[in-house]
Amino acid sequence: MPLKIFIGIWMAGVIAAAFLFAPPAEGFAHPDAARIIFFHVPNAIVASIAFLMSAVYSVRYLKNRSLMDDAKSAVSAELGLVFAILATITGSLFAHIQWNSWWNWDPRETSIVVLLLIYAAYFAIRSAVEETERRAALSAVYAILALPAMAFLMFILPNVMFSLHPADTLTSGSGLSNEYRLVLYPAILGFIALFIWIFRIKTALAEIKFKMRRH
Amino acid sequence: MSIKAQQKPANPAKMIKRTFAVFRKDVLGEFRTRYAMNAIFLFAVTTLVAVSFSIGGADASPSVQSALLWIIIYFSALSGLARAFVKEEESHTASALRLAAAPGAVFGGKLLFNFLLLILLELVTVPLFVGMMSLQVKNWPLFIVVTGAGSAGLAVSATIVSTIVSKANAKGALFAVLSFPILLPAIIGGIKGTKAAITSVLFADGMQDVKLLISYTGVMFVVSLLVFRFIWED
Amino acid sequence: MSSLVAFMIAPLIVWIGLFFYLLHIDRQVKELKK
Repeated sequence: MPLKIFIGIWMAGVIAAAFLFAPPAEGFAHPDAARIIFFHVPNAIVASIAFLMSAVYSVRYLKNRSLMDDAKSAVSAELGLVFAILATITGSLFAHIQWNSWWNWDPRETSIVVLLLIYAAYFAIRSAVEETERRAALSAVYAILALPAMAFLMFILPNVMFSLHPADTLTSGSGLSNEYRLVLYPAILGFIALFIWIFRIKTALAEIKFKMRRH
Repeated sequence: MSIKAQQKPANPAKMIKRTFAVFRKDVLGEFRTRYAMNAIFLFAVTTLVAVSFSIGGADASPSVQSALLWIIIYFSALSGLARAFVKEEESHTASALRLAAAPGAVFGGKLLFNFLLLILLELVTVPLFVGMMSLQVKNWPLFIVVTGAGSAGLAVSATIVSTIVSKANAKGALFAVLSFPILLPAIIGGIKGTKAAITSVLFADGMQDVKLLISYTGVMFVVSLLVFRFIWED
Repeated sequence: MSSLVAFMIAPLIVWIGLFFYLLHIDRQVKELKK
């Protein structure tokens, strides 16, 4: 409980620091708009973590056939989908402000669309199969297959397309300025903590559902 | 759990023999019905005619041409390759096959069959495409290598996805949704490599794509082989 | 500066709402578990 309140205060602090502490980023069309990275980057990172976790729990499910692992894989995928959508929206907003274009099929934009498609496919399998065990096995296999496919895409897309995505161009110098690091890293930690919190609530709910069905 | 027949790690020679036995069975079955071939060829020729009718060939740039070629290959493949395992489930021969051969051999045989289908499809579509779109390829060996490697990648991923689809209920609609994100690296690599073969005489320009397609095929093959038995045996 | 503060309010409100919602769910889950 105190830990959760700490997360609450921590994230509020991150939000306040993102607007009040961090300086406007020089070299951008609208220097203040760059503050969105404090929300965009953590969302994208959490989305990737969730995608990996979904695959890891899928492997575990295939190994020991515990339905709890399947539930955890599904929960990771659901949360990953939400965070991926948030990352897409924040990214698109920033692209609109910076380059006056909502969407440009940048490599990162393309890879996140594919990620969303993978999630769509994953949930399509889950809704198409009624039997619990079979649904678990099929979606686990799909989550595992999606991982190398995604890795290849991340590898080839930057070679195919030109990217505008700022990787290390934030603020005037090379790389992030120290003030930005000071806000961004806590923001990433905060979002990861938030992810873990929701993940645990959802797995606890899944566990309760299993117990109720058994009774 | 199903009966584990012939699950002992058989020696490689036996495994290859079984793989080809499954492959032969599928080829013979296909000759009897010609279902997959008809579906693929009709689809390919129809789209090809539609595309070349609307574009007219001459004014399409190399990137458009190579993209169109792979779109035609991909969607024709979708219409035929999905059947690999669905037909076993529909004719209730899946359990017999499960008993007769180890999972690896089944996957290998189906994969070979799908690959053969794709190659046959390309033997017809590619010359037609070249003719109808008045395609000028500067580097034919590269073009052929890219097409072959891309088809191998498509065949591997399509085979494993079709296994998943055969076990799910909504068979028709699911295949396209599931296969697209997984097949995308092969499609992009194929498009890029084909474009390189159209525009440049140098082998080096397309080498990166060929390497990518081969490594994609290899990685997807290994992963598919590892996970295949989890869906096949249930 | 003042416009920044105005921009800050929206995510802050969203976060506070989400935070209390999560705390509420947390308590309910604990009760369900017994």
